[in-house]
Amino acid sequence: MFIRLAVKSLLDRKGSVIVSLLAMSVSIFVLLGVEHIRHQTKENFSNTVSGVDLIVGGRTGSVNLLLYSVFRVGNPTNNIRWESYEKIASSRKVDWAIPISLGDSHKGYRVLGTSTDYFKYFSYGEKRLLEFRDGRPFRDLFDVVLGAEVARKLNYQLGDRLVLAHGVAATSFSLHDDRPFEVVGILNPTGTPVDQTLHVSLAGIEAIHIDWQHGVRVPGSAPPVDNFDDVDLQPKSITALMLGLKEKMATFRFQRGVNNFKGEPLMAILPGVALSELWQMMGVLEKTLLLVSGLVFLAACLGVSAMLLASIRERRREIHLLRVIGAPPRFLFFLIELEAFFITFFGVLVGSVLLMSCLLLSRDYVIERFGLHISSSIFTYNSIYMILMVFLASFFVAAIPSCVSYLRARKGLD
Amino acid sequence: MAIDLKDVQYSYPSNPGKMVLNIPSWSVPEGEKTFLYGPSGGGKSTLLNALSGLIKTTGNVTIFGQQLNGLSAKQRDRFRAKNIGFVFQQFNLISYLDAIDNIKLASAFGSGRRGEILEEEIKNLLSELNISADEWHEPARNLSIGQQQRIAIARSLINKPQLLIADEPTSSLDHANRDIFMSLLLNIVEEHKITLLLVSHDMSLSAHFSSTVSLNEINRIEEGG
Repeated sequence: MFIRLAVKSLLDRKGSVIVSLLAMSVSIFVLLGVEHIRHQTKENFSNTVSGVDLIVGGRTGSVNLLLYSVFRVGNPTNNIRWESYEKIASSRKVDWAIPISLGDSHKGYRVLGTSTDYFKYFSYGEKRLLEFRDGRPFRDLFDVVLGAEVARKLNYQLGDRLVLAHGVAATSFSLHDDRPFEVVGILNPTGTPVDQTLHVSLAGIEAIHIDWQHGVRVPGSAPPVDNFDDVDLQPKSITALMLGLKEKMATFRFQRGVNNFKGEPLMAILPGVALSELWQMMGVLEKTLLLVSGLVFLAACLGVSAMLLASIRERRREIHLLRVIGAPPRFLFFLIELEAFFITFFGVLVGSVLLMSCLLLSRDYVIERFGLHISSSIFTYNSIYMILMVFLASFFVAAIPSCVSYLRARKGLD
Repeated sequence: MAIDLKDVQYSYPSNPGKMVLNIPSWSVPEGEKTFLYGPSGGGKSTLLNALSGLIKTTGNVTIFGQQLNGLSAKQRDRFRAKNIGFVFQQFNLISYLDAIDNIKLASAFGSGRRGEILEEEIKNLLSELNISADEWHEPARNLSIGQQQRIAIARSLINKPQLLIADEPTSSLDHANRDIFMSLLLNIVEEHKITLLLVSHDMSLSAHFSSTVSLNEINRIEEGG
């Protein structure tokens, strides 16, 4: 009867209850949305690279090196000479080394020149190696391996031919159209920037630039496409290199060694440390967003409280009648609390469903635009904890009208 | 005695200097039908609140041998729900609940009974009070004042009270409905052997009662309260 009374009472005040419910739903949407996106972004970030002990690049900021080498965001300030790469890679402390060369693109997706060790050693998430959905690693000069998202979005299959563009602009007029690449492999989705990357050999990168100088093709200097046998395709420089060390204990010492490298100014970073630095930089934004969403939720809670407070005035006679037929003051307290609980419960329900639908609908856009894989399943340990906090906050805020009702009943005024 | 008041005094906490009830002594025997009248603002509602234990007065308020002043607020609520029925002029029912739910609610606080037996009892009571079955599930606000009054009687009877307090129950009714209502009410209290205290301005109703009391006679307040 208690629940029935609360439900019917809310239904009797549909107008104000629906407005309060909408306010609550929107606030829950914002609150859970911010938390979920924050959590997923952090997870995406930390899953992007694993098993790599050091990343080496031209001397710059550690975050900048991480951004261009791992996230394919921004550009390097300096390249690494090939000789430096060879010297570092041949160190007896190094287990494996993956050279990477960035600079070209295909329809807005970055092209990564690397060696086949990339497919052997690069790992992400919980040290998961890259897996092929179709095909194999590149072997020939003009072979290309596509990230899952590139293949899906541009609808490429094995055997398709594509042309790389010089530079990283989404629309480029400087095309390497005389040397198309053939798709020989498509990777499984990883939820990392690998999905949005085309992978070619370093020699392939060299080959398409053989008649280019300063970003412009020099007419007439190109050898025939099928005659690269006598051409030296060893790169002069690379963008960065990823290292796996034989002994993890030696990481800091090796890092110091790279930072003091005699040949040219280089720097080595620990991916985990740089990731947390990057995340710390975003911490202010993260906290601001959480604060704003918390305030939105507080406003919605106060709205519900104001609505319930106003309803007590409207329901003076009803409350008096309940008292007369024997309802104790605590019944009135919990009746108001129960009404607030229902509004919060349905607010959480509507807000969550709305959020999951929006995440589902915007999934492709978010992947394409930001390279983030945001899951539409929002119920994590964090979000459940947050929902519990929402109910607790709503209980405390609803305590204002509930106490008013209780105290009036105790005084015998209603 | 059904009602026994001794040296009952009360002032509202918001205005402690102004006494609204000052009743040295007043009693109503069990089974009696008492008509109480008095001017507006004379303390009628306060007296009814004191009799039902909604407010705590000084002195002794005893209902069927139970001294209300000695009970805690919780015990007074329980006592009221079990032993005292109320019928008002209007706003007798919770407007968005139907007749059956309104009565069930009173039962929940009084006897605490539930289930099919209670529902059957409610339906019998409603039938006895001439509320047709198709009106049982209508929200109270859709029913006429006369129907609401009769449902209020049914509600007040569900916990088998010893005392029924009717506060201006006929004020909103026309003459014909007033007579029908009074006849129904008096028959029911007679049948269930309930003590009736009816408060009204309408002196013509006093003819139906064995005892008529002026509030001014029992409440010794010099200024109108």
